[in-house]
Amino acid sequence: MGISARKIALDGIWGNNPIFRQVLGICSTLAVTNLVANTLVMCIGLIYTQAMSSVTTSLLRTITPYRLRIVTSTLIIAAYVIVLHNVLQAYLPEISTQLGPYVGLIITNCIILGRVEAFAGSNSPAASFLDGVASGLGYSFILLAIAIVREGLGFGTIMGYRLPFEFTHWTIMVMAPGAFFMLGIITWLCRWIDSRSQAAKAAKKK
Amino acid sequence: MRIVKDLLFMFVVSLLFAGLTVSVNQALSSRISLNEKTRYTKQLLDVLKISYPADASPEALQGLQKVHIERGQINGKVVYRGLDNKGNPVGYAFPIGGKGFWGRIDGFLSTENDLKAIRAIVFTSHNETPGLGARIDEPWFRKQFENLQFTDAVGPQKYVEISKADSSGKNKLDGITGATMTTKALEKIVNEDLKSILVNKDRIGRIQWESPQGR
Repeated sequence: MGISARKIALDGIWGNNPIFRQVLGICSTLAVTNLVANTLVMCIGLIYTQAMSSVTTSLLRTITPYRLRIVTSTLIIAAYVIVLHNVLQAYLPEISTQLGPYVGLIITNCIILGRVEAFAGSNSPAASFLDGVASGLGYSFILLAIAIVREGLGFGTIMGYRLPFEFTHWTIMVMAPGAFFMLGIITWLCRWIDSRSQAAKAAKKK
Repeated sequence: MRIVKDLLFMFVVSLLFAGLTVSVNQALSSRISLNEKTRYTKQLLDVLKISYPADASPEALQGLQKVHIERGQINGKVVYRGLDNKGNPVGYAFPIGGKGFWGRIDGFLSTENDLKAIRAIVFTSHNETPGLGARIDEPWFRKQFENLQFTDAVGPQKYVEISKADSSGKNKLDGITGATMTTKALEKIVNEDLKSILVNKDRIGRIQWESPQGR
């Protein structure tokens, strides 16, 4: 095992962040981020699916025929998402109705297949689990940041609680264009912070 | 030889994961169907304004449904009648539905006994935008329908109007900001269903009512 646990975790959350670095999983980033509560459930669902699929793929990696790896991964991911969907329907029926088709769409989330293919297929189960959780967290923190701004400006609430001051709500923030603006701004902000810290490191070395 | 090995691998893996999903589904299916049944019962009780304790168990709700809700049919479509504690009718609930902005909107609309005024409205399923069109579920919006008289049309084929520009005047409701398409679609659904209720008015008196067995 060449990579340290610390590096895997930091890469998933920041250095190789799925949203602003790899630009994966953009469909759900745009679709579910107008209410913080829905975003939170989506993020938990994604972390679970990513971690479980990565571990399973990694466990099967030595016996999976090379040309069947994508079919196998898709099958694994779909199975875990169906289990999640059933559990939500059984124990959290209200949230399940609200999320509607989004949970099922985790199957097509490119981050999951991307991490499974790029990492879990060639690393140990423990490292893959860590990578899955870290990528999920990297996805979650960007989504939550976007959702807080969109719900806050668009509805004047956070998690359904009213903000302490009153202003004219920016309805556009809860519609599709608001998602594009926020994604653009956050990507720029994160990359700018990242490039500054890289530059600072480089200056120190000299 | 390689193809046989590949096929065998795929077969085993598929079997394994199909087995996993089927067993989880089996284990949870009775709970899931009970949840759905409970949701349906609550919505029927809600639309007929028959009160029930907020923490009522699924069994208690089924019991309430047997006592308070009767079921009948007109032209093959289901109609429900609500009864009060003494067994007197309080109103009728009709399934309504049609095309929304993103997908179908379905729900119940109830009327008073005289079939002249709306008693309440609830939505059982829709795919409208969360935070915008989905706000048709919010109590303030649904409450606006209560007590509206729909015996006289207020416009061509219209009994109810939903607009955000002007909500003053007879049967004009406040629309939802940012959800013009959803409110327009809903206005159409409600007006069409009200019209069919009025058309079938005489048949409702001749319905053979029966206590529903579950759903």
